[in-house]
Amino acid sequence: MEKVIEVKDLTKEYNKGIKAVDNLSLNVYKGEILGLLGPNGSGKSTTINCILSLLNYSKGSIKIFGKEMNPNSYDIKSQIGVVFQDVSVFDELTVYENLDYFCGLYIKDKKLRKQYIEDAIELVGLTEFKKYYPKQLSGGLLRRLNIACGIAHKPKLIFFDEPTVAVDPQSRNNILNGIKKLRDNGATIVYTTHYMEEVETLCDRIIILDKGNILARGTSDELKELAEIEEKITVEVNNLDVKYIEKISELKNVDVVTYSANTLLITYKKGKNNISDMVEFLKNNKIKYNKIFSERPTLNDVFLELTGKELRD
Amino acid sequence: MTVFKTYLKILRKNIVMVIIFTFLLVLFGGLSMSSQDKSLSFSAIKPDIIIINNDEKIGITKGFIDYLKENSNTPSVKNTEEALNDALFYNDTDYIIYIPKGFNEDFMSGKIDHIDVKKADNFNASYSDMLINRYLNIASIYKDKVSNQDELVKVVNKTLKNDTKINITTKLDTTSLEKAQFFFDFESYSMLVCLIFIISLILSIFNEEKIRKRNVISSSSYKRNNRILLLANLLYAFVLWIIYFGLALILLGDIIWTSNGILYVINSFVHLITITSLAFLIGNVVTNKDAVNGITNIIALGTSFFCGVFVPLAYLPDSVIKIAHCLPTYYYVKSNSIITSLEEINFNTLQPVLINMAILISFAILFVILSNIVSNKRRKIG
Repeated sequence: MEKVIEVKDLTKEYNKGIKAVDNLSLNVYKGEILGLLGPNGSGKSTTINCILSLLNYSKGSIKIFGKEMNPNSYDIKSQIGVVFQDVSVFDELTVYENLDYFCGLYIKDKKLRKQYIEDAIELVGLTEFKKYYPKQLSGGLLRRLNIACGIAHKPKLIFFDEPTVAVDPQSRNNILNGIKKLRDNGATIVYTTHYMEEVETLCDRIIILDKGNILARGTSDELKELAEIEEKITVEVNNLDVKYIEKISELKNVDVVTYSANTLLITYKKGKNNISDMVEFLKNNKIKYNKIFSERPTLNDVFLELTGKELRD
Repeated sequence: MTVFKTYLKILRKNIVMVIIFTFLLVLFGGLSMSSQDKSLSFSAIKPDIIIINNDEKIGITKGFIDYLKENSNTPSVKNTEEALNDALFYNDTDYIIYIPKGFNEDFMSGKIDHIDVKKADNFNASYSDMLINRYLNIASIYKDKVSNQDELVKVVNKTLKNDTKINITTKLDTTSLEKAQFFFDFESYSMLVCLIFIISLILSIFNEEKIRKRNVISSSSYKRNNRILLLANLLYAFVLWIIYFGLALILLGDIIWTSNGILYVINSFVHLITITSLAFLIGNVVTNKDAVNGITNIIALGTSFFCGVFVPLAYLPDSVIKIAHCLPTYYYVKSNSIITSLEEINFNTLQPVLINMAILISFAILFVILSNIVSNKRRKIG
């Protein structure tokens, strides 16, 4: 597969020897969505800033489209789009004027630019808000404008740095669908977030970062394989007697049992038919329950096992 | 062109501020033109003198009293010591003269060596002294050359009526130049506001971290964009100066085409360069655009008060003037003041103005260097 980004041994060290990124190597392949997953401060944004030459780095090499990336690589930059975490638009310009400015930094041809702007506006669903100023837009619409400004020039490689932070569910879905459309249109995407659900549904490959190091990489399924637990069963049951918890922990394949806030959580390391065994146990002991469901381990479980802390800690 | 067009869009959206301060300049400049009288005339002041005459009102005594009445105001106050002292204390009079009994005879025989007076501690009292001494000195000169007191009075009056001819040798139209000076002094305030506000605002918008990052990662050269921004700001500053020059032409008329007028214009242009570079520095230091308005007011108002734009330098305390030495506008205002009094223009008379202009240029160079240091530090995030 064709490599779009090739990062080798990237190290970013701040004063006092603090390493934000430590010997990090990664490849991004053409047409994929790569998710960089990690908690705040894990080095996701620093990695992106180094790749984009917004930050000096202490060690390593970065190639984009097969060429060495540096602050003056304008030919490479012309094919890159970035959607920053903070909404990065002019408050003084309307939606259309903002797009005209940011697209104009790449596309000089007036007619073509106009077409590109219209396409971007349509993609993010801002057609009715062209003449609005950013202050007149809701948080979700503002995020969409932020995305439109980053992708209006139809780049081949797009970086999304936590684009859905503080966005309502409807706008989030709109944004995620838009990103999928961009990928379908041939763009390669690097997507950073600390929302595991997003990377699971959106990304072809995922890299889990913590403290500037890569903890794991692979597809969502491959990463879940790394988890020691195989299955999680959740039972909503009111006022469960403590004696049953002990009994459940003695059942076949059960690893850990916890009970809090009327929710019984049982994790299994392996085994089959765990849910039917649990239903039978509840029935035999005449325990009334509201809900019972089984889940595969999440990326959060993987992260928890790898680092001993939650993704959102 | 993208950067330049966006510059113009933001400028257009903030043009109200420029219009307001240009209007203020026209208003105050226009008021100054209409408020001051153009004619050059002098009139003698009349001090308040109370005359207590203890002599007979005849001969030289009468002549002396008539002379005093003609050249002063004579307030009517009760002739008691207390009332007279009160009048002096409460500034109802500047001077009280006690003409002694037998004054005319004693004067003619040369026995008068002094006259009792009471006076306030002011200029009018000194002027009254001068009036009295003048009359008595002339009378003393002629008293031995005339046969009687009536003849003496006539001679003295005739001598006193000889007006001194005053020839004004200066070619300067001081009143018009003072109006021009007022206009150009006040212009510095309008220019400070319009330049610092617009340039700092637009630079701070473009220097905002979020916008700067997008500009840096774009395929458009960051340095080139900065150069366009610089040129756009210089163009704006120049256009504003041209507009103000046009206003000066309308309001001041022919004064502008005199040597002094041209010097005001040159001084204003040098000041423009300094303010523009100051605005660049502020725009590069301030990244919060919401702070620009406050900073503009503090700098423009503070500078104008300290440097004698609103209150002439002559009325400012030494401590304020010491502080003003650190501000470029002080040298601009000082030059304007010197230009107003320049009668002859040559290298020697121009030297102080040229030194002030050199100081203004030095300030501009300093501001540009500091702006570059700040800008270079900002280029990389870390």
